[in-house]
Amino acid sequence: MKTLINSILILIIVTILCVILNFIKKIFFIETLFEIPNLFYQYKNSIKLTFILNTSVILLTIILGFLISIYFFVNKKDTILKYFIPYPHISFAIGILFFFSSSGLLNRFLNFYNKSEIPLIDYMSNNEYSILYIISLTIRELPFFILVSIMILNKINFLFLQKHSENLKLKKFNFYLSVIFPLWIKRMLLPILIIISFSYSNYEYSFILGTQFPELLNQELVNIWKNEFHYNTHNYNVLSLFITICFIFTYLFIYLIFQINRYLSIHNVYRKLNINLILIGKYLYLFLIFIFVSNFIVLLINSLSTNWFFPNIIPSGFTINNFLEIFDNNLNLIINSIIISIFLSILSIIIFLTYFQLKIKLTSNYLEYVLFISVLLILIIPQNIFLINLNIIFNYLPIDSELFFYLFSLIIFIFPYTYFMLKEKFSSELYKSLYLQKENLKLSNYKFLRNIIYPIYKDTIIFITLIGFSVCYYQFLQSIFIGSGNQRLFNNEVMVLFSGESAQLSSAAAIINLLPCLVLFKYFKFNNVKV
Amino acid sequence: MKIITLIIFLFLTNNASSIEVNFHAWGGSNNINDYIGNLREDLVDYGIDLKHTKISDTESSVNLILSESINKKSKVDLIWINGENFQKLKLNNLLYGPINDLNNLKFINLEDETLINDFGVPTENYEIPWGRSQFVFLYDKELIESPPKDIFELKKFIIMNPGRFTYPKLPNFHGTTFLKQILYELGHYNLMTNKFNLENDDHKNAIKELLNFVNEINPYLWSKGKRYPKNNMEMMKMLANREIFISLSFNPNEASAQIINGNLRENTGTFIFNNGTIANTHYLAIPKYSNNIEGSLIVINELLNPKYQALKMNPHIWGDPTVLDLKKLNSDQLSLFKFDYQNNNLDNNVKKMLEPHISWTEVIEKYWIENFN
Amino acid sequence: MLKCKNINISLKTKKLISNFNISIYHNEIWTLMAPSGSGKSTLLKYILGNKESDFSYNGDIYVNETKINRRSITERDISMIFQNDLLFPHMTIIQNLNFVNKSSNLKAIDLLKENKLDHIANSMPDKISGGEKSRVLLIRVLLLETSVILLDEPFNGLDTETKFKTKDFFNKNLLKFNKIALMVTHNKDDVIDNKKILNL
Repeated sequence: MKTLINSILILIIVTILCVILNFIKKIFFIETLFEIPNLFYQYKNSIKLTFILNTSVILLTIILGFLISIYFFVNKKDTILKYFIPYPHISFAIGILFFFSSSGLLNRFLNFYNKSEIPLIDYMSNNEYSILYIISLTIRELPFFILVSIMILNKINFLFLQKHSENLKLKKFNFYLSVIFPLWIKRMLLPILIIISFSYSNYEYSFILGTQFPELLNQELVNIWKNEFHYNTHNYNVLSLFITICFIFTYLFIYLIFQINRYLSIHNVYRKLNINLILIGKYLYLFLIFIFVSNFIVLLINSLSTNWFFPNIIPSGFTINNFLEIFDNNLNLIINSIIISIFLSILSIIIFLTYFQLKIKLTSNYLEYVLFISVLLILIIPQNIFLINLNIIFNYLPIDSELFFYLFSLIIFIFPYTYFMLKEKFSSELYKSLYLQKENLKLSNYKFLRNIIYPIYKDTIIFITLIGFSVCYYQFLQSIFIGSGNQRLFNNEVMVLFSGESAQLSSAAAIINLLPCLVLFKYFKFNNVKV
Repeated sequence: MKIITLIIFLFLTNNASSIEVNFHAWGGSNNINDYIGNLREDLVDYGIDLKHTKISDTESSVNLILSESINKKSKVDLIWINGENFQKLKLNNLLYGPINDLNNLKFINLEDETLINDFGVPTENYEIPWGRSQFVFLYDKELIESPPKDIFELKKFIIMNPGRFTYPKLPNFHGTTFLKQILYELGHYNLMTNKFNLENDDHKNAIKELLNFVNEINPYLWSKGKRYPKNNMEMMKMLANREIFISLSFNPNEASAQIINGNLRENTGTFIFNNGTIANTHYLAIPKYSNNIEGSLIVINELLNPKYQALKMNPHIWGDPTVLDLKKLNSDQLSLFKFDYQNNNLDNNVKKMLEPHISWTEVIEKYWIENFN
Repeated sequence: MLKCKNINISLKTKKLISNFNISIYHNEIWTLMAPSGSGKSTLLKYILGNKESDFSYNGDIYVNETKINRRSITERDISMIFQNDLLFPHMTIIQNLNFVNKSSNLKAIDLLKENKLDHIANSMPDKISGGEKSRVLLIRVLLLETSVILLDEPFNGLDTETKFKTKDFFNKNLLKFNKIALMVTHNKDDVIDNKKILNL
């Protein structure tokens, strides 16, 4: 059993390394290099736009994330923020559209005194630098960012530093920007990388709200995949090179900003300023809650209405038929998605639990290093690039089961979360002595996992399963890049319904898509997370 | 250990007792999905498990068939197809056929030019007609009293109401068809039955005229022509909320069907130009390397059954005109084809124009993308 | 019989144990006296089969004339009470005992009753005293029915009176179940059988 699972693990590591090698090989293929100038000219606008949009998303995320998390940290409240961590991207984007579009709910309220029968010309997304795209991508990522940020504030011993700074008569503003921020940002590099990676690979936002003139690089990559990849891979290779370069530039740009902040704080520029950051954080926090709640409400009303045309603020009639219709057509798919997500998140935990048992006996650390690096790369490489290379690797394998490949491509994105969260717990002395005790008391593996590890680490394991479940349940790109599109999750179905005829049905689907994780995260306590 | 092996084994081997037919069909409309869902239930009697793969554009499925053909395999068993996608597969010799001995083919008039020619390419029974379409415009009767009668009136409307008209981004076929329609209206109908030739000055001028026309209306489009909707469904939702005043469709009964579903306002009407609009047919085809050709043939036969053709034409269900020759039906079958349209539709005898030669589609898409993207 | 032959243990270049030899028969309780940090716990863990990565080991171990060097902890007929050993914090005492019990003729509750410990059977591990904990730990290894029992400072942190009672309890039970026992300690008061002392 143990050998089986560990050979699976090694297989996975090998696959990941192959994917990365394949990517490097493709990019530096000599014929590809000739294509670069041509395609650069063709995609010039896309590259510019992608870089500007995504960099602003990251900058905004960092600034808002910092302000909100210090407010949150000082006030220590367990609020509804936790429900927004698993809020599905697709549902969020659809909700944003129905709220902010020119015939959306916000505009209907603004129109209340005007009493016009016709909405204004599209005002929010009617420019090249789509404001909606930036706002929605930033805000959707914030709850996760804040969660990690609070763990990190716990680690840097905020209260201790605060006491000392007060003693040294530092102004609050100066304290936050010169003491806390640099310490905080140093540890936030990984989450920032994850968010950059996501913004370079997401498809949902650019499809639902994005600019189409020109399209973003990630959207172009999907287009190429659909239309010409099977005959001509050069364009794809060059495009993924462009994405990678943009990615690196975004990162460098962010790094530059931090250096400037460091320079400013060393030279005491902040000393004269006194702005109440906590208060700003509070208003931003309320704004965040407002966006999420309005998002949910607009989806809910829309899904319960028979129709809801502009300029009505209240729909003409209510019905639950939209939900019934979705259940009627998609119940199988919903149940399948839930089963797949539960199965994979538990499997992933089992694999890593056995790995950590093995690890104690290992004398050299090479496996650990390789595993660490490959798991980190899964998080950092933009998902679209990763999946295309994974697909190429699959084509070399003698197995011919689409379902297997699909499940594999799903579980691989649960691994990083499982690994990093288990690693912290299972490298501890307590775990080592428990393991020794297990050997001493001659317990079987199963008995050890079930009666000792599970009860003692119950909270951690449930938390990781929750995260794994929601990560798996909301995977999206697999059904585009892996297989023929027969394998899919309910999340993909929401997108199909969105591009269909009925706004009501797509809202109902978006609400149903929300439910499993909302229910699960009810039992999740924000302040108790000590992962 | 054993249990896990068993689970993995079960996951890896999908051994169903019935024949599985993978039907790749556009899945954006709930009516259509329901229609295929109904069919699925009936097909269980034949031992067929119909799987509707809901695709968002046919082109990706065609690419899938092309890429899999290298290994002489196909995960697609049946596909909803027409026009350039059909041509692509036929040229590569990837379709099963000719399909001549289906029972329900007897209801179809195989002499009809509009059925056996798909964008100027003879079908030769490599695809079987499934439904008819005609390019129509939907409009809000309260906002527009008399709809435009030709393209020049439409242009006047667009300039008078900036931001209230648009068309889907090419290569979406609604967008392409709108541009073809402009070319027809500019008087190039006869020219376009021939293959596009870059050396022919008439052909070049036609394209030039088209680009000029589009350039003139461009600043007055929705979003000033900087963004375009992805498809006509997105346009329909915008029409319902009056963000735009005119939308496009390929289904002459779309207005009725969508009003019944509550997706459009009740005062939505349908219009076409005085000279008529492009009409075409959509088809069903079977990839050559499909594993379940037998099953797919049964499905096609069932879809040509008057019962299913009538359901397809019913505005409460789908609303697409039938491909059956009503003269060949008996009175029982004929009685299925009587529906109550609520004044939102065209009468059935409006002028239909044939699709231009297929080469024009590519040319129009190419020039549009170069100039407007 | 437990027999150790020429055991050497070193930490990097520093030699901790050199040429350690001992033979222990059934019904014997040997005590190994050594100061803290001399590697006596490491030696016991080596006999148990737990090697730590920084140390290097050699030497043979026999149980009942069979060489067991290559066997894993689970396969060895040896069990151990660690220094500051733990009872699983999420189970009651009786659950902790029943959980590891593989014996067909011994029952945890009987052993508790015999030793007048049945009143704590349903307590949680953090609610019992140090002396009770030591006794429960011994009962736990007795239930494993291994021939050899290793004890690493089992009476650490007990006051003199409790230590005396607990020592008596250990002596009685180890002899009763016919065990081979090896204890390490740095404290003279801990010694159970004064005739069987070995200084490192």
